Amino acid sequence: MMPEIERLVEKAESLGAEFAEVRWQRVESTRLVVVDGTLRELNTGVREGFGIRAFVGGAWGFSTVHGGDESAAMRAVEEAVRLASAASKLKSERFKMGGEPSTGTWETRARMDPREVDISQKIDFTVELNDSARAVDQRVKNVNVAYVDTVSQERVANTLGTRVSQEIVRTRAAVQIFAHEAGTTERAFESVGGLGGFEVVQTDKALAMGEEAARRAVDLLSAKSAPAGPFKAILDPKLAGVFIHEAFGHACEADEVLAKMSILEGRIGERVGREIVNVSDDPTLPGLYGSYAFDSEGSRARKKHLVREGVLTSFMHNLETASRMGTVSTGNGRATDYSHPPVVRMSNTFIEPGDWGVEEMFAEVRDGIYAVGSLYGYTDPAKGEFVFKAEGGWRIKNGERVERLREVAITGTILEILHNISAVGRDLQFDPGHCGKFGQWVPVTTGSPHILVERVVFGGMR
Amino acid sequence: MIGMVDLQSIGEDVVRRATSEGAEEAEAFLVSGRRISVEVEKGEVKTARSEILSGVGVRSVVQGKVGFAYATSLSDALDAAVRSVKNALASKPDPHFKGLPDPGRVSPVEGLFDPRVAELDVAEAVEFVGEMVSAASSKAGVVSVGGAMSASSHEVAVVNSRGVSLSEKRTSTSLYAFVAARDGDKSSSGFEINSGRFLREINPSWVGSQAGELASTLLNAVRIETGTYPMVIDPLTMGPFIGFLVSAAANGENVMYGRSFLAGKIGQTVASRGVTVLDDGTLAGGEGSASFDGEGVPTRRTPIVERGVLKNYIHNTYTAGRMGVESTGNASRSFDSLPGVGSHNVILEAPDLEASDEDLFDVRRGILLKLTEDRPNLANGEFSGMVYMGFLIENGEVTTGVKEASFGIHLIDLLKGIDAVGREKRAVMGIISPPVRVREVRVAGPS
Repeated sequence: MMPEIERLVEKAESLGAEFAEVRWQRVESTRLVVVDGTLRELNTGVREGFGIRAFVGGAWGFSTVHGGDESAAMRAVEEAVRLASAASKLKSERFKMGGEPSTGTWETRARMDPREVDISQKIDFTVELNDSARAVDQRVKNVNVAYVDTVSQERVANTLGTRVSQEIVRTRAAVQIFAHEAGTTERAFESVGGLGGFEVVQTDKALAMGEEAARRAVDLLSAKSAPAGPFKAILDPKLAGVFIHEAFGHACEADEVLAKMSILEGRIGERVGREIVNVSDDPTLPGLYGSYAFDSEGSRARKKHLVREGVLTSFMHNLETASRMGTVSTGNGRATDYSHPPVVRMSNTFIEPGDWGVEEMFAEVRDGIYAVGSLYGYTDPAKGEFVFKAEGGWRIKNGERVERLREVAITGTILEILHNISAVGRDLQFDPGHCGKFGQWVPVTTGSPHILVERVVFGGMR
Repeated sequence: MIGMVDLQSIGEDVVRRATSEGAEEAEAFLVSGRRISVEVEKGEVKTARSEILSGVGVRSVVQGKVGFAYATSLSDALDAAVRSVKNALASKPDPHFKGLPDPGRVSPVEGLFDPRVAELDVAEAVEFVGEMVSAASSKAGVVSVGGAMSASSHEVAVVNSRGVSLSEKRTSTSLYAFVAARDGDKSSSGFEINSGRFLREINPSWVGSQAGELASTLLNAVRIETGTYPMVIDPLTMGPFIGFLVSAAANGENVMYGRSFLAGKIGQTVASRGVTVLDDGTLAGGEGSASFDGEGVPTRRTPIVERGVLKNYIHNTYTAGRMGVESTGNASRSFDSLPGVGSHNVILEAPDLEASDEDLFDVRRGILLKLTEDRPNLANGEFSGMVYMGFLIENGEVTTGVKEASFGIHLIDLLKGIDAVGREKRAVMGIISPPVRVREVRVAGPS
């Protein structure tokens, strides 16, 4: 049952809000965790509530209530307007919230709607995935499999006239393996996720990922610590995808630019990398984990070219940053859920494929590192420095993989790194994940083919 | 919002409902409260927020099978109780689940609630951040000041069918600054934070001026050559070091499943002989303190590393039951999932290694690490990360910032390499430590 939220928007306007937005959301989720063959968690949850934003005198007020009670939401509207007025006391920058109204409804087409799939089927999938990983090798010590599906019903309305309702279904499964031998423990991670129902985790890749992660964890047991210093490197699609998200994507978020926290401020139209480098953010790709039809502000999703042939072409915007920079929202205003205000976020961010084969890239490396998999990454967009962690890798000598390497940290600077990419592969791949910013986590996809980087600094142990 | 609902009695209703639906054991975990925050962008208030904190999680057990359900709205609490029993019936037996905890002797910990935090108005928070912003902006080269202040007050309740019925009111507040500085082509950033249970622990002008000064000084950061350096770790960034050691590496769940490099190392030397690391949930006024944990088990003081030797892990009821020990009262909890294991206040003590600042920094060429956001590898203990904010120490003086540097060391080697600590401890987000000097750390520059 979706509440009527238009009245709440009108109320905010009548109280003096220059702009107001009301979001209602109800999320039903199922979460299963199987550890070493034991079902540890069978968890179903309901999150429901309103998130209300009011804009007064250049500042925002945001209030949250839980549940579906419209009279409580009405009080939250008053609170949001009061908060905005209080906040505007320390605000001199004034701007008018603009933008076109957006209307529409959208539903994820889930072939196997998680509400229709029996819980026993989800349990069997999670347990079997766990079993498949444990069967790989005796050195597999600990196998963790998590399965999560969410069905989110959302409505958003604002004073521009936006009226959007949607139902978003996402499903994800993740495997984390720890392998152990003679005092050494190593780990590996795999996940599959997308927009859609139970069918998302019924693919060949999903069903094989337990074995895949288990093999990698076992292989890492014989790995050596990585050397420290600058090297020529090949990054695999997983790592290169996280790298482009962390090292470049965050600096293209217009709120960071406006806050003077981005090294890319004022550089639209400038060359930031070689001509072979093309970077896009595209929430309209079908079925990916970071895809959506409308963002949390109700703006329609669309593809953006952030870098085209090495030239910085666009930032990502929500309604606020677009209003302040005299442009239109790019549909990147996203919130974790109703209890957070929408901020500028990425969706599916990736390096567009080039024309190199992976073997051709290896042939280019006389002495270097092949870095594989991603643990996490972060960036300091103000300073332009980033770090990301590869799950492992290989030392390359004369085009051959000669020695397996353990976890490595890779560091560099945003303004140099794209100039150092000398080859882009044909093999674009996507990986699901969650991106954190201002305490909010949203589902995203990172993507890339293999890339060859002339010089990147490894923070190794020796 | 506190006081408007009787959380314990809702919890008792929930447990009764789950039991009447067929649960042999049931537990309700509830939270209710409010949180306000003010966010700063480019030196001005961007957003003021107010949220109601609310949620209920229910754990039910039927024939050794555990089910869980939650809702954000307390009016859905009984519905969650019914769903948790349904989930237990659909679940599979967990042979390692030994039952919910029995009631223990809970002694109230002092200093967990500050009415000034509970009553803090957004307008007052705006004044706090205004002070922070002006202090930061006064430093040379500062172009942008970001940050946030938040204040939350909430009540938690734990009720179970074995007779546990507890509730407690707690407050917490924090103010941080993230500052960017520029000078021509050079750019840098600075960070500082105050946090605690009391409003008096927040000093906005200090936070602003520290973060501003850091950004300003780091404008002249230099690249350094790859090599081995002594490193002084600032208390601001002890989280990924001793915080990680206790909350992740000595975490009973990670140990029990063999995920942690500390598994099987009880009784072994893992740190310099002068170093003791404790987890303490009973510290009066501590940011990580609580009278009872997320399952209603009384908190305690647990030595993790005692004079260099690994003594204990931290546990909740499940991990303790499986490893045949007592729970250490470290069940960490959010209403939306089963209890995990987490640290309370992590304290580093090394009285024999205490040195004056002059002696602590008395190295020919070393690194002062102010901030890293990396963390060690749980499986093997190796820690490679970025020197996010750091300085060069030359002939006993902190001279200039470093940039594009990263470090690599095994966490145990790092702890064993501690050869001096400062005299003054500082508490940052529940981690209480003096600055710590490590004899040798591998640091990589870009060349």
